[in-house]
Amino acid sequence: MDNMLNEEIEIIKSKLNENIEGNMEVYQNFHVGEFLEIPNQCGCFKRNSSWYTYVTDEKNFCTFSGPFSLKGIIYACSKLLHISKKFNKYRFTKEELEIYINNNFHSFNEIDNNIK
Amino acid sequence: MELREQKIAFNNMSSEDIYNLVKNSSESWAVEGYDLITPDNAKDFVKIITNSTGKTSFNLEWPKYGGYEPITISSIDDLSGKIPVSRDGGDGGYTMGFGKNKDGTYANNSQRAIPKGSADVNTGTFDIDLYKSSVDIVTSEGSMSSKIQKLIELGIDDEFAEDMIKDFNNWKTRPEIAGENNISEGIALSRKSIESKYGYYGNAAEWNVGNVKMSGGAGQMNTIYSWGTLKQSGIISDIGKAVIN
Repeated sequence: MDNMLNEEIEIIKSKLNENIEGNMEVYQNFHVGEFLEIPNQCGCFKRNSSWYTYVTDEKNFCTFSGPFSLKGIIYACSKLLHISKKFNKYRFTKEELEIYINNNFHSFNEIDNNIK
Repeated sequence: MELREQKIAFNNMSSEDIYNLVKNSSESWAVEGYDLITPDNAKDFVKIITNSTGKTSFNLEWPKYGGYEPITISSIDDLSGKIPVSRDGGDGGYTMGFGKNKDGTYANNSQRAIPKGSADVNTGTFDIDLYKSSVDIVTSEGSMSSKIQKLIELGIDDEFAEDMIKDFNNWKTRPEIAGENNISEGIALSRKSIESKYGYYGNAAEWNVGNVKMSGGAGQMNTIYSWGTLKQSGIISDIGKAVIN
């Protein structure tokens, strides 16, 4: 992993931690900077210079959402964790909201074919 | 090795070898998460697929038509009031059990046709009327902002209104809705005409695999929103946990 990616992962963790009682460790099925394709997990990872969220269901079916900037992924992650009320200053721009609502991908291939 | 060759090699393995291969892999969930899958029957349960990253992966050979007995599939439009629901899985899934047995217990895993002995399930009370009112808005013509405004007027927080619209878009692309052997194909078998926009309910189909017999019969729903969004929006309340066997 390059230094910039590591820095961004730490920024995401730190911003989320600021608004989580205890800290992020309580969310054992949430992963920053790492895509774990096993059931009932969620998190975010960077691909092709952009950030994406992911959610897997009980049958291991994956949904990816993005691409987001660093600020956008912090808010998107707060939504995954159901703590977005505490992240008002990170709220999506109109364009990011369109991406959040409309970009639901189910494979890396779909991401790569749709996001240039 | 190409996927086709990997599938051939996999299909030529013994059940015990498949069980051990999966158990010792990074995807051991496919057998360890389902304790009724054993070295004797793993070959009947486990399949090899291409996963979302394009690599080969293990999963279960899940029943067709979203797990429903086709003749029982109906539209959630037919339901009303508040009903008990339960779900074995995280916030990201769109399927749940509904109703309870006569003795007040939730359906067990045999009734749900899930190959495991027991589970901790999430429980709650589902407000069907609020759900249907929100679906009417989310599935209507109009701009995203007008839908969000109408959902707010319905009493839904604006942040969760966004999630509802997102979930509906996602639901339409899910395998049980748009994939092979989807729920609509099950409905077609029974030659019924069903209003699909509210999602579906019915009974889990019997599932017999190898030496494992699962009775089916549990009430089951597929909603257009994920469990997490249903909770956050207040459509599911009285959140709790229960152990089923």
